[in-house]
Amino acid sequence: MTRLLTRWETRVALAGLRRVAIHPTRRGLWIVVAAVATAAFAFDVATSDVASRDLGAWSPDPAAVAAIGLVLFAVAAVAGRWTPLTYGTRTADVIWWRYAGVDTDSGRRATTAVLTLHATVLIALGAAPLALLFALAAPRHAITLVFLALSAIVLAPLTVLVSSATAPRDAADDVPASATGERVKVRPSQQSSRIPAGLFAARWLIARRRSESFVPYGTLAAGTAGGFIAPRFAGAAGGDLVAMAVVIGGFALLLDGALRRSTAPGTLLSPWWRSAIGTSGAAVVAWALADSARIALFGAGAALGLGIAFGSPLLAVAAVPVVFLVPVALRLTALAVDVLFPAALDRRAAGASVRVVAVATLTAVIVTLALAAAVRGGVFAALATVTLLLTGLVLAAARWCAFRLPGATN
Amino acid sequence: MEEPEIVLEVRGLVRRFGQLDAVAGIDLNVSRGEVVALLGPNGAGKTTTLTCVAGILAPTSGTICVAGEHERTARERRVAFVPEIPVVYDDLTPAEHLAFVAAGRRVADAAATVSRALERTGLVEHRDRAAGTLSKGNRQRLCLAGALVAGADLVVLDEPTTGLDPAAQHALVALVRELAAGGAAVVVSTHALATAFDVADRVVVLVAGRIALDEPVRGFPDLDALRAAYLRVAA
Repeated sequence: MTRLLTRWETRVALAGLRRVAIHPTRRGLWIVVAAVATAAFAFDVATSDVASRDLGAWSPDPAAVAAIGLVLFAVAAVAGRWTPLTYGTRTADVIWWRYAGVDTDSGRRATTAVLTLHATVLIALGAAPLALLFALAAPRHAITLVFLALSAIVLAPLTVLVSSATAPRDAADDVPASATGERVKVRPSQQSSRIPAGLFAARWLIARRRSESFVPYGTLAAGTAGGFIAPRFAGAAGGDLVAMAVVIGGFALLLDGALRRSTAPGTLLSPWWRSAIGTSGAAVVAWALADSARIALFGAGAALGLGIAFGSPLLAVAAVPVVFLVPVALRLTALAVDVLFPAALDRRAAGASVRVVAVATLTAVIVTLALAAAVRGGVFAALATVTLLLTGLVLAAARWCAFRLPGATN
Repeated sequence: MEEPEIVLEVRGLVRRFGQLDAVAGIDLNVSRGEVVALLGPNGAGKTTTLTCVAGILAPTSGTICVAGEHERTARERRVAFVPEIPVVYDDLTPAEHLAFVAAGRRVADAAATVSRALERTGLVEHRDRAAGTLSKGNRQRLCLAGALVAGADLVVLDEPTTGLDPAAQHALVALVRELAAGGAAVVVSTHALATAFDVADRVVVLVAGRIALDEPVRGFPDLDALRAAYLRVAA
């Protein structure tokens, strides 16, 4: 059975790659852009003779690496206890694995094996070439770098195994609703559009329909690790390159988000959402918060990681509200435009242009006001200004969306 | 006369979600070659019952026996579940889907079995198309073809005719009858009384997680009689 499922996984993955190659999607384009950027960055680091790119006097302590590993295992164990083991990694697995005679127990074992393999391959693909390039750039640190890469390659799959080992096994009720066509059931206590009760219900519904965990702990951990490690890379790559990447990359991300037509009308007007959460302004905010939970937690993790790396945890905590509000504001701005152009499905239609212009203008205004506040009152003043502006934008956009949504319950 | 073999035997099935009893104690037998239509208003517990029977959802209490198998792992291999939303691997072809099932079930003549299933379900002309490009009706047929290749003793279909045009509904009903004629026990949940009348040997009406009516279809002279009986218990 293991051989059969391994062959099947490979076939599904290859078919997916074939489709992406024939019909490139925006996600595919972003993956290519990221791959090219990473290669260029690594090439730059490996071939540069600037002394600051020789990793300086950096020397990670094996004990610290072991401690990080233990923390990761603890997080994985806690996460495992919250989330039952899944049967398959795709919705179709629930049906087709069963046709092929894969029972629940073997299906869950196979899923753990598949996820472990995914983690190993992904981490190895990233860590091995980076370690090699950095080792070439800084031969003095070669052994340390190889040790770190091997640690990452071993730790990542082990966290999956730890998470699976601690997961509850008794109830087979973790099936994605879309796999069985079953209606999502909402407890009476969740039928409220007030925050936070409405927010919990919204997140639960969205996570359930996307087969995500209620709390996307993985993205939080990835953001924290990324934020913690990023300054080391920044030190190696030079400040200008990093600043350029952050500004251009950040703006590109905003525009990419603005290009997308909001998925909210479909969700907010569906019977399951209306009966459970409603379509009031608070419900619209609940949707935006619940929908952006993954990216927001990644950003919050990155902010905390950066704060720890730079020795300014207070600043990092002060930045967390902004990190949460940015994706929420982006979603609501897009939705606020879409409720004006409900029929504009085409990416080249007027609605798409207005979305991009609105996002670009609001970003420019907010950044300008934040810079003005920073000049007068420092970084904390800038963060407070941005938080206030984004909160105002979110509330106003939510009211507008609730007013414009057809049949909304205001 | 010889008693027909009972394939599905459900005793005291209960499934609870928090405070809600979605299924509140069901006893049900389905024989080999028999088609049972599960009817009932929204939220009556039809899908929950079917997913418990298919082994996808664990019951809170009660026993389920399929083809003499009580143990969950052994039972699961005897059942094929066709969901309301027919999920497929978008990038793979119907032939690849069925070849996977045949390999998993260790079917002796896999290629011939796959071809026969594609023929019986009318998917021959689509055998090498990406399944993601198939219509809902054809995806439904693909799932049924999967059940055919699996050679399950019990086939469970959740609202299979929802969203299908009349011709596709007619084809599906014929296919379900063919499955039963081939020796499978079939349980179909549906809201369409006409479909139930056409396809089933017996109708079971669930109301609030309990069986409110369990009658052979031949006991109803026409569709109107079935509708009247349904409305009487469902109201």
